[in-house]
Amino acid sequence: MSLEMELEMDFEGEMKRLEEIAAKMAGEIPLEESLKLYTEAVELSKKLSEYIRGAKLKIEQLEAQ
Amino acid sequence: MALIDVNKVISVSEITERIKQTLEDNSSLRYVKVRGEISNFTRRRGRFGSDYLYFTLKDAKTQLSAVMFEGVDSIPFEPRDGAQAVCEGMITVYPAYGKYQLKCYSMSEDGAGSAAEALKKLKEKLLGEGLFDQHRQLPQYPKKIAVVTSPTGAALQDIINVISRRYPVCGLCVIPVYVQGENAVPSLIDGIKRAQSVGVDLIIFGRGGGSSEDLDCFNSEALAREIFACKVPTISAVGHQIDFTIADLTADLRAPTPSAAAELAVPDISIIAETIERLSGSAAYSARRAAQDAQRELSLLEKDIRLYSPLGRISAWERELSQTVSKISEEIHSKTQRYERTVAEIMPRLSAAVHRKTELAESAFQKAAQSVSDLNPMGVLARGYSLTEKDGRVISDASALSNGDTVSVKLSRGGFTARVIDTHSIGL
Repeated sequence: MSLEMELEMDFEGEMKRLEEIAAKMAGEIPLEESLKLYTEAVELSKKLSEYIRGAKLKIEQLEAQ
Repeated sequence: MALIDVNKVISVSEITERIKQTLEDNSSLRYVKVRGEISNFTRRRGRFGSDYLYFTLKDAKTQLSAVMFEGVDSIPFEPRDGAQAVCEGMITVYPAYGKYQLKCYSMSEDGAGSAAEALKKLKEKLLGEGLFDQHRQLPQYPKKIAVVTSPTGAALQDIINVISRRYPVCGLCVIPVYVQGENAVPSLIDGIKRAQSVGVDLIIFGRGGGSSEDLDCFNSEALAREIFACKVPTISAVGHQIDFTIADLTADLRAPTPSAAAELAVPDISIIAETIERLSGSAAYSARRAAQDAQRELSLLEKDIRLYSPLGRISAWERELSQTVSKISEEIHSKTQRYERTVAEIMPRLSAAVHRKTELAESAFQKAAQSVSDLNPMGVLARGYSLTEKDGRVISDASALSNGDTVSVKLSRGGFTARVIDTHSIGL
C-alpha cells in the first residue's frame, strides 16, 4: 500500500465498526447474523492490525504566507 | 577632576571606576522611584536565607537592569514577568559587566493603567462573553491534525515525535506561522483559517515557551475570536509556567507544552492494538456462544419432535394406559383387601348373633309348645272340666239352653246325656 492509499483508509470508521460489531454480537442475535458479523470482525481486525504495523506518520507542510 | 591629561592612557577598571563614582555620587540618581514593567524576572537563593531578585524594568522604549538584595521579604505582591512595579532605590554600577543598574530597596505594584491590568480586563470581558466556555469533545481517532506553529521551532519537532510514536496512522498538516513579533497575530489567525480549509479534524497551535513579551500575540483579542469561531476542536500548546494566555483559555483544551498537546491529541496505538485484539476476541467468544446456543436449541427441538411424532404419541399413550391399568388393579386389590378385613371382623360377631338368636327361638318354641299343649281341650277335661254340646255344638253360654233340653256332656274319660232342669246366668 502506498502512503496515500494508507491515509485513504478510514481508520476511525473501521475502528468504530469493529466496536459496533463486538457490541452487537454480545447481545441476543440470530446465529446466522452472528456468524456473518464474526466473519466481518475477523477481516476488520486483521486489516486494522496490519495497517497499524505498517503505518508511518504522513506529514505535509503548507507554503508559508 | 579639573585637569584632564589627554595623553594619559587608563585601564578599563579605572574608567569604570570613574563612571561608577560619577553616577553614584550624583544626587539625582542616589534616590529614585522608577515605574516600569518587570521582565526577565529571576529569583535566586541569597547568602543569608532571603532571596535575591534580578530583573529588567521596561517601558515601551527602554529597559533598565535591576537587582534587589534587601527588603525582598517585604514586597507586598508577587513580582513576576509582566507585572507593573514601582521600585525605590539608587543607580549603581556593576563593574564586572560594565553595567549600570537600579539597586532596589523596596518595590510595590503599579496597577493603574498597566498592560497587565488591560490584559486582566480583556480576560474578564471575554470570560463574560463565554469565549472560555467552549470545550468540545476531541475526535477519538483523529484522521488529520493541523499544527499551526513556527516551522523551525522545537515545538513542531516535539509534536511530530510524539505523534509518530503514539499514533502514526494519522496525517499531520504543518501550517507555518510567525509566533512572535508584530506579524504573529495576523499570521496565527490566518493559520487557523487555513487549517479549517484543508479539512483537518483537530488543530494544535502554539510555540515552545518564551518570555511574557514573546507570548503577547497569544493574548490577542482578535486571535481569541478566531479560535472561538473555529469549526474544529483546538488544543493550545503555549509552553509557559505562569499565567494562561487568552488563547489557552479560548482553546477547547490547553496543554502545558507542545509534547503534552500531542499526547492529548492522539490515542496510543499500542492501546488501540490491544483494543482490536480484545474486540476480535469478544466477537469470537460471542460467535462461539451463539453456535452453542443454537446447538442446544436444536437438540431441544429434536427431543420435541421425537416426543410428538405418531410413534412417540403411541408409546406415550401406551405408557399412560399401562399406568392407568396398574392404578386400577391396585385400587381393586386394596378394596378387596379392605372387604376381606371387614368380613373377617364381622363373621365372628355374626355367628355369635345367629347362635344367640337360635337359642332365643328354641326357648320361644318350647314356650309356644307348652302353650299349645295347654290349649288342648282334652287336657282341660283331664283337669276335671267338662264339655257340653247340644245338637253337635259346644255350648258355652247358659242362655242357649232351655229347661228340658237334652245335652250331651263329654268328660276326660267317657260321657253322658243329661236333661236341663234349670239355667242361670252366673258362671264359674
